[in-house]
Amino acid sequence: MSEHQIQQKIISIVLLGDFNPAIFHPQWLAFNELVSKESANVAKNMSCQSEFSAFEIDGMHYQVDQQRFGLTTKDESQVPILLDTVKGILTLLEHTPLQAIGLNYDFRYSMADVQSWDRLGHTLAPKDHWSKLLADPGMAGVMIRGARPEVPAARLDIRVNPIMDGKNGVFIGVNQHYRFDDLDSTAIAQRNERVLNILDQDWRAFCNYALQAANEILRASRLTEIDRDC
Amino acid sequence: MIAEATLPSLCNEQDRSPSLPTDSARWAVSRSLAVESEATTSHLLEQEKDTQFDKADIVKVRTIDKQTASIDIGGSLKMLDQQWECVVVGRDDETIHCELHDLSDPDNESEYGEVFLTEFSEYDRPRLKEGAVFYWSVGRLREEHGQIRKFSELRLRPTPRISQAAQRRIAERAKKLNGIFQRSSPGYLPGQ
Repeated sequence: MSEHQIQQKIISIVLLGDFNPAIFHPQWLAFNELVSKESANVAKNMSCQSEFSAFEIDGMHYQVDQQRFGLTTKDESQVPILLDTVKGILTLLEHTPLQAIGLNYDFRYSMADVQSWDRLGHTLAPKDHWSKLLADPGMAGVMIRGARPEVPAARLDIRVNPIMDGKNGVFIGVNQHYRFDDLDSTAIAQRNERVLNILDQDWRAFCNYALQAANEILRASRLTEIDRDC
Repeated sequence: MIAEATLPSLCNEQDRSPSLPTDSARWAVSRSLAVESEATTSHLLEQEKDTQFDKADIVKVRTIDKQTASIDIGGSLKMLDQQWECVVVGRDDETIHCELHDLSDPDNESEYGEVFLTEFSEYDRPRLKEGAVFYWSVGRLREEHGQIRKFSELRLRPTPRISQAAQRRIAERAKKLNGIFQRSSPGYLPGQ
């Protein structure tokens, strides 16, 4: 049986807090030397307003609203730059109150054939119970929440969704979520420092874990055939 | 598995999570990954593609729903084979000398290398001073039609401009720490 094939990796860091989207502009990043002036001048898909800002520079997608900052890349080689950029922005905006941070690693795979695609869905969401309630039940999405004992994150979410792209596609998303409830709401500097520590200390292990998790989930498609009509 | 044309149930405010939400319907019709606030996952629209940046630094002010941006996740896939963090230890007229730390396998020992300055962008060259850090990535690029190409990229670490006040704060802190270290060193005598 042929193997599944990776189609895309999407890596992102998302911060929740109180942000001022108006300042998130390619020229602001260039002025502060987080991107080159040349790159800022050719930023793509740009929308910068007081309540929302989004643009793409050098393969990095920025999206900021008043409660949320997200930096995303689908280019694995840009990950160190992504981390450095988030750290740089936090250094510049040291007085930004932060509430949470999420580390995200998402994958898009093409399964080898429709049988293994179905098998994955049947394994993650067995149909025996659903068959009593629905005709021809199928998995449209699964999210499992848990924790990793060795990691100080508040929780970990793993989502699996089918992708109807004609290639038996599967989306697997891993989100490691940290909250700062133990810190006083006025402890802005400590929250900021906590984020920097998470990026320094947890990122690599998180990436390794996300890859392992995706492989483990995909293993379900190789398990012994489970009859769809069981 | 099947994909439905309905959205998953909505999250409440307590469930607001820093992740990039997805929905199967979105995947079914587009190669775009929706990026939205989890507080309101009920709206999914396309980002308007005609918002191109004007080089004259003029921002087009236009109405846009903050839930509407999306990231195009189609296209080629970069497969990273190896990546190094390179610390500049010196430079001459043509090359920079650097210490390479393997990010792909941190257990590998550091190596020493020389890279031609012409490998870097015009913007990066003046910044390649001693202590500067850049990333060297090598791998393969799988294009949409299946063609595989090798790539090798050099990217300077982005380091934010620090204000003079911040520089003073850092210098004062360094001086203070230096004093602590000196006082705790074995050869230190009181009054030194």
